[in-house]
Amino acid sequence: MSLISTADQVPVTDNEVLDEFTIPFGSWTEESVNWITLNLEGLLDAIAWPFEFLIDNFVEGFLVDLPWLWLVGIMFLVALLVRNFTVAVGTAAGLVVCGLLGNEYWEETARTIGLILVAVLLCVIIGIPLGILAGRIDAVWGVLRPTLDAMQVIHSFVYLLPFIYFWGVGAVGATMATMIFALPPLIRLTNLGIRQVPEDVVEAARAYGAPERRVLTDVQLPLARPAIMTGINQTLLLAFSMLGVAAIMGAGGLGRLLFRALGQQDVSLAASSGLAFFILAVILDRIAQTEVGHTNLFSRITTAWKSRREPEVLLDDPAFNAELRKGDTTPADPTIDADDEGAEGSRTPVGAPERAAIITSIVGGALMVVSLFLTWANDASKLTGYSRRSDQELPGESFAGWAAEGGSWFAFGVTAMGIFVILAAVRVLVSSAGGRWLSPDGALLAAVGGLITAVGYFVTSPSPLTVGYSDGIGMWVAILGGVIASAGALRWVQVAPYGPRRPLKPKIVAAPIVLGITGVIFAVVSMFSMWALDERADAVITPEIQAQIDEVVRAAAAGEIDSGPAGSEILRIRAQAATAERLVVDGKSSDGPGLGIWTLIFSAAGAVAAAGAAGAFGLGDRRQWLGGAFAMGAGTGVLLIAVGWVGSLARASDPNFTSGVGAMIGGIAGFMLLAAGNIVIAGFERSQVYGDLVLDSDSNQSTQSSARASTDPAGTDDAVRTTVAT
Amino acid sequence: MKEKIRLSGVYKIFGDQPRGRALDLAKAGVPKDDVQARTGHVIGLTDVNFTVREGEIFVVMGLSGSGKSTAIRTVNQLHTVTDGEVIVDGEDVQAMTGSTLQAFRREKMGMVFQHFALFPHRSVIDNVGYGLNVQGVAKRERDKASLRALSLVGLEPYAMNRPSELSGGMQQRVGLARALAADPDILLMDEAFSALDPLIRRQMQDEMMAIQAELQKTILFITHDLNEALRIGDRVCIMKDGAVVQIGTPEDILTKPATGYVAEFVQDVDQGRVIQVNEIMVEPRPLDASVSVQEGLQHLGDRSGAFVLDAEGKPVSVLTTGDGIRVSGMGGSLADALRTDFETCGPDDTLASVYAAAGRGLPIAVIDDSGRLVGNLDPRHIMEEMGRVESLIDGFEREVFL
Ligand SMILES: Nc1ncnc2c1ncn2[C@@H]1O[C@H](COP(=O)(O)OP(=O)(O)O)[C@@H](O)[C@H]1O
Ligand SMILES: [Mg+2]
Repeated sequence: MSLISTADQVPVTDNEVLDEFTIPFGSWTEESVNWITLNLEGLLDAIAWPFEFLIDNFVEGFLVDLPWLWLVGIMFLVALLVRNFTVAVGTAAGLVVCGLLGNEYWEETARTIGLILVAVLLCVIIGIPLGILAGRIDAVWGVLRPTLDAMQVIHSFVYLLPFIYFWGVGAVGATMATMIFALPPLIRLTNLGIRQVPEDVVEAARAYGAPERRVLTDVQLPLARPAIMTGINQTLLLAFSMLGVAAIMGAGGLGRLLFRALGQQDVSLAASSGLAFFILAVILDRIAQTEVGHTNLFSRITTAWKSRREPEVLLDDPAFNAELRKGDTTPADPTIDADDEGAEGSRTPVGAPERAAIITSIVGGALMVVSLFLTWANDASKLTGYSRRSDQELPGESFAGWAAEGGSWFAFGVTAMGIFVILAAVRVLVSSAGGRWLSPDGALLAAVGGLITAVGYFVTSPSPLTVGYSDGIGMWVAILGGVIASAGALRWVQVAPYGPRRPLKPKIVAAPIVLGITGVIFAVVSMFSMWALDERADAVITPEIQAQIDEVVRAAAAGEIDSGPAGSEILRIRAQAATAERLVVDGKSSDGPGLGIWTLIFSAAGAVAAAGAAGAFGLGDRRQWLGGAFAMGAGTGVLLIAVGWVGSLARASDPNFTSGVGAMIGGIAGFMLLAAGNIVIAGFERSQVYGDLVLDSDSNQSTQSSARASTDPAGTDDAVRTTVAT
Repeated sequence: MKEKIRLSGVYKIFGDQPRGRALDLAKAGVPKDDVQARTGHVIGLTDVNFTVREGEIFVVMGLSGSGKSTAIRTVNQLHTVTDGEVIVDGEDVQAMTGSTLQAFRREKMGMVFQHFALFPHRSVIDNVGYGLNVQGVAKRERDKASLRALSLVGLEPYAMNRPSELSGGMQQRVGLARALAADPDILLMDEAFSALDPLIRRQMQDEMMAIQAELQKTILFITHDLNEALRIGDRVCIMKDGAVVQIGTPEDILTKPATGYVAEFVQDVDQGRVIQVNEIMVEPRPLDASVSVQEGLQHLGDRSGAFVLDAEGKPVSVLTTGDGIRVSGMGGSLADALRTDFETCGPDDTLASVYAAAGRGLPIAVIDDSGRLVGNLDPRHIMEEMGRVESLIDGFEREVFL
């Protein structure tokens, strides 16, 4: 490799000349990697230690081993604390779905949650301090910035390589790679957040003598909080996507299932793990999202804690007040009102008729809850009798609501609704602050939903093969409870002081009607779709099929095709034969539960109610309110019937007997009705505060008032605002 | 009076090497633009000297970029100075570091900012109490002090609100209350009222002066508005390109501008002045030409002069007190005492236009379009009016510099 070349050297313009000047970058790197792995083992171990520790103890030792409902409960609480009730319920529901996909999926779901948490936790520990340093010291940012730029240009696969070299294949290296991949946005956003804080506000803190530490904690961090929260959210999502890639190098979790499904071209595995992956992403994203304002439970708790000694009490203290009055005070600017808090503040107290209705609802709700512990099935199992042959005949035995052979998920649904009714009732009675739905309409919704669910269990026909089945007392108690709770809640809605939180549109609203009709269409489709798939019958190998197989065997023996493809060809032929023998049960068939028909019936009822609520029959405000709640109840019921069927079968699952897509479509119908009712009813509240027009800081207000501007004479808005203010 | 704040020979240069050639050039008196062109360094302050006395409102006034903010920030060491000394209460501010500096800032002074600079995430009362919070005062005590400060500016009903829920004027009052809460000796106010609209600003100025009358703080006030400076300042310091141009009482600034630059400002004020002759002229009370000098003097009373009119009501001559006394002493008649070399003006003329005429000390005849006497303008009144800066500025509310 000498530059002083002899005559027969290739010319420099020729590509071949490049071979003579090879830069051995690859082998240098290899050398260094080797050296590091050999000589710096201690360092590598030290770096890996926190990851190893957390993965071993927290993920594998705790989360994966945790009984699944515990994890659901924990996540519910976490979501409730950092976000709100809605997100918490969504979280729990989503996780339940992940669990119902099967134990395998659940385990990987739990592992995924754990790995994500570990990665994000370490990102936060490293990223936020780095971001703060970068935000406060230009020199640090000067170094970090190009580094981060480079990190974000590199393809995610490339991240894996060094970790494989240094720490080998496995969860530890994969989590590290994930962390490094997910780190940049957190650093960037923290830095940005700190820098965005207005200079004069920071200067004000300094001018009042704050040490730099307090400048950071009192001003810069609080004001950078939204940016940092966004950063954490971004990091979480990036970690999530990277964890899918990291499955290649042996990270556990749903990514592994996806990866396997990809390799095996297994559609069912791919779909199920994909679904779990998606649900988990949505859940974690929701939980980690920045809350607008301070409405989440956690911050409310801290605010409440801090306000123990808030100075408002000082203002009420007459002695101190007198002292204040001595100083001559300029009258406050009257044009600016403290805030229109009145809309939230004043709740109409509970009157006697309302109280009676509430008590009735509570009784019904309590019956619904109690039913869980009573017998739902005698001498056989209604639901698992489909999937488990042994459950088709269980003479002399009886099963409670919670048992798989008993009410199972139908009973769970009824109980949940009962609890909701009770919560709503108690909350209004003690009139403490609560969510929008802990109110009469929420109670009616839950009562009707629970009733329909119980009735759904009642109308489910047992498998034709089931012998001697009879319904237990628990089911009747559930239905009775549903009826009482519905009646109580109905009455409650009729007598409760109520008020639209914003004015109702005078015209018929199209959206609920459209949604209701769509729901009914879905219900019809559901009725004709598969509710159960029975593949337990063995493939019948007819002589023709046998001939096909023989042909393939012969071709393979003759060497015309390779043995591998031949094997899969034979499998395919057998599978085809089995497909011909499988039993598809649709929603109306008497061989199945027959729930498709009832889904349609309940959906239709809900759709009619939704149409009424939308103003189609010229009903008054209160009836619209009622109709909306009823439509939502029907939607909930239909949804719970679908969940009950799918969930109950999933509990006693036979890989060859599964619930069908019809149940899912039925569930969608239920959702449509829920949405239809919600459009109307979300505008109402239990308390009637300022006549029929109540203004609040609802985000819908501006759109509403502009919509109203066309129908109302101009100026109404101002007139109302003045009354509110005075 | 005791001196509270003193800047002596203060230079502030912005740039990588503030103590290098730029400082030498600045000390040699090279103008700001030249220094910038030659060294790339910006002169913030160049040889600034002033003293703020205890209990006075000292206003620093200058156009945008003249170094006012830089100057005020050296007082609490938000800026370190490149050269020179900043003394507060006999202590060298530049020598302070760390916790000494923080304690000094907390205890000695409160600062009010142009754009309020309230902490948006804290309630009004927590904003006001921030200085005390940093001092480690217990919450209850802190809240009491904060409420007291808020009551000074009339905002205690809003204690629990967030700053964003208040109007601009109210927010700045919160800023003022924050500065007052720890009861510091010194208030630093950097364009405190400049972001407010004129009416609110006026109100705030009144409020601040009322508070000042009660609490007797030492106030270093920054503004770019000469009207504001003249209105509230006990003394005014005018800055240009980082240097002090003139320091003096508002009267000094108005009547004895030190340089053409200041004169230009004052000119602006004069031209802006819309006070018209008819606002300070008195009714004519013409003199009958047939009376004696004694009777004429009696007729004058405490006026400086009276005009004699012709048949059409036009002024033809004037009797002044001085002339009357002189002639009556010599025993002359009224006709000897009358003079005809008087000045005239219209009732709608501004005071500025008659300023020169008034310099002769003779009464000026105010005549209408047809030449008839409608008023009598006493030169003493003009001077009085000019001296009464406050009322002079009160007459108009025009933003001179923006
Ligand atoms: N941090 C800084 N870096 C560089 N130049 C500055 C800095 N702060 C102020 N200056 C310059 O100093 C001069 C005076 O600024 P400043 O005191 O803010 O003026 P004023 O408050 O009178 O409007 C201006 O020319 C400005 O550009
Ligand atoms: Mg400034």
